[in-house]
Amino acid sequence: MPNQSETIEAINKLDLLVAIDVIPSEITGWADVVLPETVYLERFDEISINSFYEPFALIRQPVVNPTDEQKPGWWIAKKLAEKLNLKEYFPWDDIEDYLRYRVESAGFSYEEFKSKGIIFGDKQPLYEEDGVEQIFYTPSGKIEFYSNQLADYGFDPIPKYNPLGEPPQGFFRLLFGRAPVHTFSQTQTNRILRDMMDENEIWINSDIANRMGLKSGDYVILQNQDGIISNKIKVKATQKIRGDCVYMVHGFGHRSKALKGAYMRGASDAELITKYNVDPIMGGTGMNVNFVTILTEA
Amino acid sequence: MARFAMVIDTKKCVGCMDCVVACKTENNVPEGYNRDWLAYETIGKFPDLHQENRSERCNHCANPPCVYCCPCGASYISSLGGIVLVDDKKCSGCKACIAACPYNARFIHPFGYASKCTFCDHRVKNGDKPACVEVCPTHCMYFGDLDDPMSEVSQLLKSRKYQTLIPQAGTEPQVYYLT
Repeated sequence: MPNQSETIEAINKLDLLVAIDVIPSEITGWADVVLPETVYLERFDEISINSFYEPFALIRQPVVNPTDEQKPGWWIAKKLAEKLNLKEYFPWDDIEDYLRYRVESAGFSYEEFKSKGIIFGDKQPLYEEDGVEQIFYTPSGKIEFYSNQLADYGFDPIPKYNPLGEPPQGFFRLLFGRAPVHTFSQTQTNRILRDMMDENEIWINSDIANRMGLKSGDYVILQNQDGIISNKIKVKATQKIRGDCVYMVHGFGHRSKALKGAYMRGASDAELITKYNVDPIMGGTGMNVNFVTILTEA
Repeated sequence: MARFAMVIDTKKCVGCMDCVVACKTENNVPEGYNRDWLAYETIGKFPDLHQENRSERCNHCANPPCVYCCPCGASYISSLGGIVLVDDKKCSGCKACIAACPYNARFIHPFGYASKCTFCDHRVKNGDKPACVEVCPTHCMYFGDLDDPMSEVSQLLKSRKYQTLIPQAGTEPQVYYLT
């Protein structure tokens, strides 16, 4: 999440913060109550229904027993509901009663669903090529490049590009992204994945790195436009990035000591993203709007 | 006798390292060691770039220096399709093979013997593919018998341009990269 100080301020105003997580992530350190949840291999979940070209339903089933006293999400929800006098919304004892009821009500066999893991529905026509007329939910029924609806709300009827501004002298635009090895900030403690990638790198155009006297493998510290200083991070000098930007993989630089093997490894982009832009029309956030300068390690 | 080879399409590889995860879990490769790994090569200057991702491992050379130099007879060419293997009971851990291998494919296992990719001979024996080939999400890896002219690997080498790694070492590597 961008702008940590804003999040911390919000947390401090809360009466109660309950965190449900499968790992001792940073937010669990801020929580008043932590409810450890089973990981996906240890639990049943709600049926996943996907209405694609060939619609299908998927069931998640436990393949191993929970190692300790962690509980599945459905159990936590049901027990909380009981305490809150909302019991009638959970008219079943076990998740499997509920799953069986749903599946059998739709005319399928629950046992077969469990053994196959998937139920396919009939293929459905979706596209123009299948003879389906495409409808756009606009006043004209067409794709609108010029939107009277937007104009009525006081916005530009044709979206206008607003330049973001160039980085100041000595600064780079900070970009972030993902690596195929890790999933968000959740997997940095996985011992197999950690073995392949245990820290992130800061990509710097190799011509620029050369000029700055930096080479791949050097450690640097980043400072953003608001003076926020990062954990140390390894340089990757590469031609794969343009000269006015730097890039890092998201999900590293954890500050939760309980995340063994990931604690303080690499730098956190989230800490450096103190600024974000909000799209006034649809509320989307743009976070590639921060600038960092590179400090060689003291 | 079959002659097993691996063919890897560098045009399809995205460098995700799934092959590395599969190998580590299939073969219980100890932490800090790898039997396969990714090589990323970037040629050119931004924005005019060419990128090649290669999943690399032991090349199961037809002319393997690691076998010839082994003083214990631990490194050998298997009758199973020419796969190069190590008999860990015979291996003294002297590292001669590590010095002889031009591909840095071998390491000393914490238990004291030389270890490396086996082309998952335990799976291949049963007609399965090596774990890395099995899991590849882009299906860029192929495994099969080069002595069979109709096999997928033979057909690919017939129809596509390819290269091997450090061919000048004369080791006749059996991992081929489609370029």
